[in-house]
Amino acid sequence: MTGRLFVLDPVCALPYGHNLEAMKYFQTYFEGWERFDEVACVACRHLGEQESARAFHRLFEFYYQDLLPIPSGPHSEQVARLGHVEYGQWLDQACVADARAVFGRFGITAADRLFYPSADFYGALGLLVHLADLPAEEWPRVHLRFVGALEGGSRHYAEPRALLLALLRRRLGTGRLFISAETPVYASFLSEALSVPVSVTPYPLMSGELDWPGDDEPFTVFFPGAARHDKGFLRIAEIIGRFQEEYYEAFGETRPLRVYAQDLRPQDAAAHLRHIGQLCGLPGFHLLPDSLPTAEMRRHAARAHVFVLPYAADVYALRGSAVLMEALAFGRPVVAEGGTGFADQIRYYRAGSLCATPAEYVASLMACARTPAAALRLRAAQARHRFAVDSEAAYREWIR
Amino acid sequence: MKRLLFVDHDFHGKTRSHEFFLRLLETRFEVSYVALSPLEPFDPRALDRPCDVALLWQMDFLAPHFLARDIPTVVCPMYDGSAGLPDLHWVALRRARFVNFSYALHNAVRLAGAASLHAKYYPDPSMLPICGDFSTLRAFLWVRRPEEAIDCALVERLLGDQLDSLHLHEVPDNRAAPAGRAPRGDAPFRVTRSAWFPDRGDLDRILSDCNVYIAPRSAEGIGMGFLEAMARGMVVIANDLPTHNEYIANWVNGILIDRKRTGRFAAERFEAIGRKARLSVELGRRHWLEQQDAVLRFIDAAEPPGIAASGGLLEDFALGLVGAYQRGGQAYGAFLADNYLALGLLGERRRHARRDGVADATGGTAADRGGEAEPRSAPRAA
Repeated sequence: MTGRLFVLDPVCALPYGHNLEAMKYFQTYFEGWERFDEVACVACRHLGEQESARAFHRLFEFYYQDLLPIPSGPHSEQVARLGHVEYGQWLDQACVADARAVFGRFGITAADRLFYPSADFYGALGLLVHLADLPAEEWPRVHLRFVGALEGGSRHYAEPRALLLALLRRRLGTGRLFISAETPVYASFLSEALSVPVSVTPYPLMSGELDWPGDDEPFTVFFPGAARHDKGFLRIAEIIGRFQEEYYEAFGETRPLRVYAQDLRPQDAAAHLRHIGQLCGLPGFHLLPDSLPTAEMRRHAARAHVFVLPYAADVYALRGSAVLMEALAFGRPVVAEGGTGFADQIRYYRAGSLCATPAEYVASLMACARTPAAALRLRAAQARHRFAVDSEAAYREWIR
Repeated sequence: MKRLLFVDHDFHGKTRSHEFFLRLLETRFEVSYVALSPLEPFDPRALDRPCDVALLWQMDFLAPHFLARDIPTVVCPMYDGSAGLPDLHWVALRRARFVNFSYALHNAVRLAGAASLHAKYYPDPSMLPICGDFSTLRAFLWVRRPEEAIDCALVERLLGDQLDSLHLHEVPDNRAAPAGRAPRGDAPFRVTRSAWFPDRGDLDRILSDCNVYIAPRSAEGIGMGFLEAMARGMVVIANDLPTHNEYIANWVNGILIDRKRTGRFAAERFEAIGRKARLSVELGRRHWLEQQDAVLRFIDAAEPPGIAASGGLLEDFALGLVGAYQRGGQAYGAFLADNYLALGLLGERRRHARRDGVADATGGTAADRGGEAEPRSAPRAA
């Protein structure tokens, strides 16, 4: 055994979404290595009392209320009334205080490792400022995994990600800091910015394969994940509208088509009510709630023959997709947007097809619909196998 | 079993559009039923029945009556009745939970901060014959709302001589409303009429002969008539409002029109549209049957709103709200605005400390006000 490993995510403040799932994934994953004295999770202090996160430590303040407000009312009245500048100063102080609290509460030593599965700006800033007060030989090993989400999450700096990278460059020489990225293209970007090699660490596969739908089930297309504009919600109508026409032209109505997609949040949906209504009117289209328990997500995923990810290539230029990881884990092919950060992985592992236009999405979906289920399943299993081997090797190398 | 009080609009005694839901509830709850007229003076004693949960079918304005008594309350509003209501209406009902059959209402309720489940009902298509013959076009219209100009003249404008026949069932919802435009003697299609059927079977026989269904109202709460028509494989032509435009994808499985503006269109692909309509109901029915358990669990999970006893203040407010509602839109809106503080007691005020990063002069933020525009002057006490 070689010390403890802490999985830390200050952004984990909600009972749903990928932050909570990611922390549980990684805790279970690293416990499976049987290498650490303990694997503990440290989340935001405002994470509610979910049974699934019962053993989590709750410590961090929530630093992103002005970017991603959480409904549980995390702030004291005092903080709520600060002006912009004062609030920024409070954030700077809070993140450092929290980093010190982590070290103080858990007695962090050089034998320990700190793993941030989704490195965020204030979480990393607080840590780096605190570490600067310690001699390098007292530092734990710190593993910051960049996912392209909140590394630049601040309205109080002109270029927060650039600031973070500058602070990292100054500390990389200690040999105690290790950087990885979720996608190859982001790893290359960071490598150039930091002048060091950067590992590629997608999610390890933590879910087993899901049984393939029965032969009597409708051909089912799933647009999973919380629907947002940048995840292509508004593209679904055109893709599925055109796909339906070709599908029923080719197969007739004896083999129906079913489509699942998650709804937008109400504030995002308000400007698109008729559009969403028309989407709901398509035969076999079913709109799922914007927030779904994990078990419900798995139930719908199990019915799907293909996952579709029409994400905005500009927003996701460097970013990975946890939904892609789930598709790989579950053993489902994907049809996704080319030019995204995760397109390389889809291409390399032959996990599905890449598209740029609605016509290409339709063509890819028709190809899936025409492919015998056994062949789809085998191809997905092959992609899964290759991905699992590479992902495991990447983590073993990165966390030596 | 929990005791559920089903509070209904007395008009449904005629349409029976609530029955599918009542039967569903009876599988999980001990249901007692009461139907009220929203136009008659409200007597709270009519609702004085012991229950563990109150469910209001279209009678959303009665929710504060139950909330004020700390009774778990579920509301099933209907788009045709509640679409035009102000946001403060939903704020007043925020501690109820909602089963919405219209996506548009579902979103309005969610925006107001209440829990809502979007349910999509479909009838059982296996009970209905399919109209397969599209060699000629034969339309059916129940002239329920002649005052909305959904009548023979509209059909003639839309389809003209493409139509072979039109059957008008002339039984308006409001017999006191002005009569609609009568068919022209030289209409380009054959017109048949009825005013009464001895039994439902006669109506079914006429519908079975038709393949085009003109949705009789400009909007619907659910829309049993047009959904059954879709189940029959008929081409439904409907005004472009919910719930029509939430069940019909335009020119895929039905046709949406602007009843005031749409002119003649070519009756193309009607047979394919009719088949897609039937398919939509088959697939939708399957999903509805799967969704039923989630609906029942959602209703079962309704909790007391946790409103402290107010010495009759909130009960009086609830009574005043009903009276204002019955006096009409302007009076209702004024009542809600004038009683903003009481709404704050009835509707749980959630605190988002910094949604926009800026605290306002009062010390609160836009999020504290639940997104509602706050009155510039201090609200008058209830």
